[in-house]
Amino acid sequence: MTPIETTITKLRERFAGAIGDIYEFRGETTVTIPRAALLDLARFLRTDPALRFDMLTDVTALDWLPREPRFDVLYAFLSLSHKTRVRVRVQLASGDLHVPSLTAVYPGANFYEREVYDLFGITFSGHPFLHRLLSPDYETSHPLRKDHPLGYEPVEFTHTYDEIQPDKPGAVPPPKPRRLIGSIGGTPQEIPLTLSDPATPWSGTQAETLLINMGPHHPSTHGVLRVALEVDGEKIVNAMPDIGYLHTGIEKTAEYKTYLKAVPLFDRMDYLGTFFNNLAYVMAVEKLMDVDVPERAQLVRVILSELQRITSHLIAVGSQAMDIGAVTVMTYAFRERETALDIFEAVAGARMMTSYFRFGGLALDLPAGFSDSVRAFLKMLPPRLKEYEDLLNKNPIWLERTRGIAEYTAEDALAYSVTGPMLRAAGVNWDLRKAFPYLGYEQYDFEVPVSTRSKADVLECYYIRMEEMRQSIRIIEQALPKLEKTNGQPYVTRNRKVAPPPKAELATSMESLIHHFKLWTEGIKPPVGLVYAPIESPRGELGFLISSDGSRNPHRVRVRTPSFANLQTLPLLSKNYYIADLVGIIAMTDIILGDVDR
Amino acid sequence: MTLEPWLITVIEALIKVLVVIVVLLTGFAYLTLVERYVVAKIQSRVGPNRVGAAGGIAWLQPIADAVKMIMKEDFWPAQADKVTYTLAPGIAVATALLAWAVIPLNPAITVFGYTINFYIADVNVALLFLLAVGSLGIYGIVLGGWGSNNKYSMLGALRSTAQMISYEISLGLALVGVLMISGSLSLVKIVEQQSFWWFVFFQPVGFVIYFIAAVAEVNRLPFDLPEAETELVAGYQTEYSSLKFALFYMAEYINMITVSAIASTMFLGGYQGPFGILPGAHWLILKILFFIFVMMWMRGTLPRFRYDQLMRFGWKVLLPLALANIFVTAVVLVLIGK
Amino acid sequence: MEIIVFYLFAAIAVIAALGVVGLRNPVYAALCLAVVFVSFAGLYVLLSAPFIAVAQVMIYAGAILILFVFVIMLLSPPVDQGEGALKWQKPLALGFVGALAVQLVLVLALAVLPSARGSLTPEVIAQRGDVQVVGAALFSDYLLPFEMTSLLLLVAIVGVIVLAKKR
Repeated sequence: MTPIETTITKLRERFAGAIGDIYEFRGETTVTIPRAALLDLARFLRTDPALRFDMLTDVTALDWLPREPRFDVLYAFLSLSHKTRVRVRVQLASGDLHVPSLTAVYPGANFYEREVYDLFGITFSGHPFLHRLLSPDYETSHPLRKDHPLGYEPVEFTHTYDEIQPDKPGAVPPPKPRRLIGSIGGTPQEIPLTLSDPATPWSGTQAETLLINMGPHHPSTHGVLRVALEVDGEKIVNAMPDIGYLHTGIEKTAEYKTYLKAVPLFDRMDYLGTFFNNLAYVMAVEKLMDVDVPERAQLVRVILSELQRITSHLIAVGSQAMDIGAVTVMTYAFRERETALDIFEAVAGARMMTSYFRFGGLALDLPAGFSDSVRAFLKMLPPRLKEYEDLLNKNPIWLERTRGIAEYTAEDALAYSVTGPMLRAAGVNWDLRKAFPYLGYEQYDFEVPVSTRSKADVLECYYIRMEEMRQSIRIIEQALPKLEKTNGQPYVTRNRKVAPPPKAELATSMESLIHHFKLWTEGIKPPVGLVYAPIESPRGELGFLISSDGSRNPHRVRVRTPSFANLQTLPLLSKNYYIADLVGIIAMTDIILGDVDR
Repeated sequence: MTLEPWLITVIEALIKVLVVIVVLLTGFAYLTLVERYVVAKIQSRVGPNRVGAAGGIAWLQPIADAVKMIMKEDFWPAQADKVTYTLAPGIAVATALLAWAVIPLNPAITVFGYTINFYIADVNVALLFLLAVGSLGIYGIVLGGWGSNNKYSMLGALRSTAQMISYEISLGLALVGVLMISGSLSLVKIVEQQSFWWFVFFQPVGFVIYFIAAVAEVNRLPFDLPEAETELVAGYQTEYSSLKFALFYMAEYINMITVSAIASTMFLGGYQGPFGILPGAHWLILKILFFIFVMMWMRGTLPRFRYDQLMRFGWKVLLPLALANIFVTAVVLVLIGK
Repeated sequence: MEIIVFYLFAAIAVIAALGVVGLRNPVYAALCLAVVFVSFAGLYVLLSAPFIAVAQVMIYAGAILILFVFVIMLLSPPVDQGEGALKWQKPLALGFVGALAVQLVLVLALAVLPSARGSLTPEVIAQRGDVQVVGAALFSDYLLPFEMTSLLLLVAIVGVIVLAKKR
């Protein structure tokens, strides 16, 4: 019996009457249950020794307007020990939009539930702090609902606000007084933003603690992150991440694009891991359409994404060192990254926003001299990595600033849905490249660096990232000879429903011409279904959940980004450390705000 | 025409003051350039290469920087305390410059029967004067941080106050060893005594303690917590712009020169050459540049301390070490019967 | 020359002292106090006591007062708006000021203070060295008070640590 069958059997035993229909598509299982059983089911999934679904990887919703029940709330559970995923669906009728919160069972549900509350207007009863997460606090609608129009949001910062405002249909001026999310006495709350009112704790005199707005404009929040920081002297009482400043509604926009045209949108999320964004999305669509990918394309995808893992980790390590004061490591890391970006530019034409992968393969073939430049990069990198370690590894100040800072255990990490290097730093051997191999990762000989200490800290994450770069080098070195053997072979699938025919065929084949015409006018047309494709991005599990209603546009594209989940550990990690540690901790989580806010 | 003797003294002092200030301000301007090149080389970057570049060095960059600073908007935070906000950079620069009143720059020379001393004042408590002036420098930072009415500035000011008070103690105690050997507080006498043997040979520990404490005193990496840009944006300078910001910057660099000059004077013989070779101001300048280079080098290499670690290091390592150094020096001096 | 400098410092000291009493913002008052200390230091220099002058600046202005300012800033008390809570202080203060003034006038008029010079004239100090004179006095004639002071300070330090440790 496969683990998923065990799970279903167990669930049927326990919740005999409650289990609704079980939907299987492309090897993924979705179990429908009534709202009343949700909390028990989650507890059962988490604690039952035969199941052990340790992690809630995602909570999201689908809006099936005009169907009733209108909303599907989807919970994605992951069992690390059995390497199984199961998705649980709760259907909600409009007018009765509430479900029990899972935060008591999985603390990591916190941000996810807030996001669903914000974007769909579904209430989670029992949630400790149910406030809007991504959209501004004065927003009155729920953007991801199907009846919410695309665009025409009020522009916040403009010099001619009064002139622009009346032109916008349905624009609502922000009500006053504005509120900001903050923390007093360690408890999160909304704080009225009135500068001159001495009665508010913002003036700092009445409260025992000081509330500091760290960001959204701050040198070391790695983008437009706002941390509502409550400090007692220099000691952190609570550090609440307040996000959404970079929320551009990519998921919403994608619903209005054809599948292909959505590819460049996702570049903009994790801008240090653009290949990964492309890869996960493309893989999700390929899964949805059941497309084959030629070997050459697979190899190129592996090489490019491993190269990008290196560049991303270079930034992570460099900026972490910079935040702790060692600026030189950062400039060194950027120097190395530039050479890799040159390769990306030669391949895709852009250094960052690559948009290079296509359904069934690649956008175009590799340029000449690709493997030579990759080899040169691989040869140059190890001594340079050694250089960083010379600067940091034995430096007593560095060790004192990182060892024992932001300690967390494997249980914490799992409970908060943390993935990627942060999870491995806590001693959990979990890498999707090994657990659910994709792109033929099972053929490569590489190790997953895992900490042997009982608790993770900032230093451990740094070690893991350094080692992962070395492992990536190993993978690329193994992939390059294979790639050279495939020179001249097709780089994209021959499935004409997905990939356009080569230009030469257009002149000779009527059928190719029709395919080409259909693809460029309408795009691809996948079957009805719900698929999820996760990959191991430099930050952790990056997955695309695509819900297709059989039309040319995706019904919903949900992105499970690793930064989003990793960031919500911030209050846990930074408590009782110092302000100076906080910047190191933010750097440790290695968040990309585009990845968090989308 | 004969001048009253006191008038001559006043005129002479005024000229010296003018010269010292002009030299220091020029030195400050070009030190910024030097720092940018040194750090750029360490970090494998190019450094400035645009403004008046000739031979790979942007000679006019400091002037361009100065012009830029002057042209920038002088920003006033809405709820800043106007008086302290304006006063603070001035205090910072004034105290930084004051220290140079007592530092001897060159051996005295005689022109037309008139002896010119290359110091503004030979006070017999010169060393204490330096420490006193240094302790006043905190006011600039504290008032700037408080006057800005900004939480980051305030935290920066608090950090710097605590840090400077803590490290000033070690700084002063590190110098006591030298005083015990020389038996004088006058910098002129101390320099004259080092014509052959520099005091660093007798006070190596004191020298190291002094240098560490001095780096902390001028808020350079790894002790630059008051203005740690990754934590406190810019610490007490966060709200400052235009010339007021430039003044803070100036004070910081002049302080760098000052502590380097004191280190040279107290431990490396000031304007004295090694083992009595060719005494003159060039030696002092070389030594100052050496110390400043070391500080820049540290900035390119080391991460930053955390606040509590810094305090612990100051109180639990440097201070006991400085006290032990004094004790050992005293015992040795008594034993050899000096 | 010396007279000019003396009156300069004295005037600054008096004006700043008035500021300490009169200014309503406690930070300004503390700053005025610093100015008073520094001008006093100037007066000490004129009295051939540079050591005292420097010590005055270093300890009072540089260390103690900065802690005052520190505390004021941390607590950030509201600027005094005039009619304070301690109304009864006013007549009391006036009474004290009057008594002091009378005393001052009496002292000056009757010349109670001895005008004789002590043994430490400027010439002696210049010859023996200012710091040396202070040092010798401290470690011979005033050794007991000196040691007692150090003991007192030690007790204070221990007390502070005990108080701080409690949290």
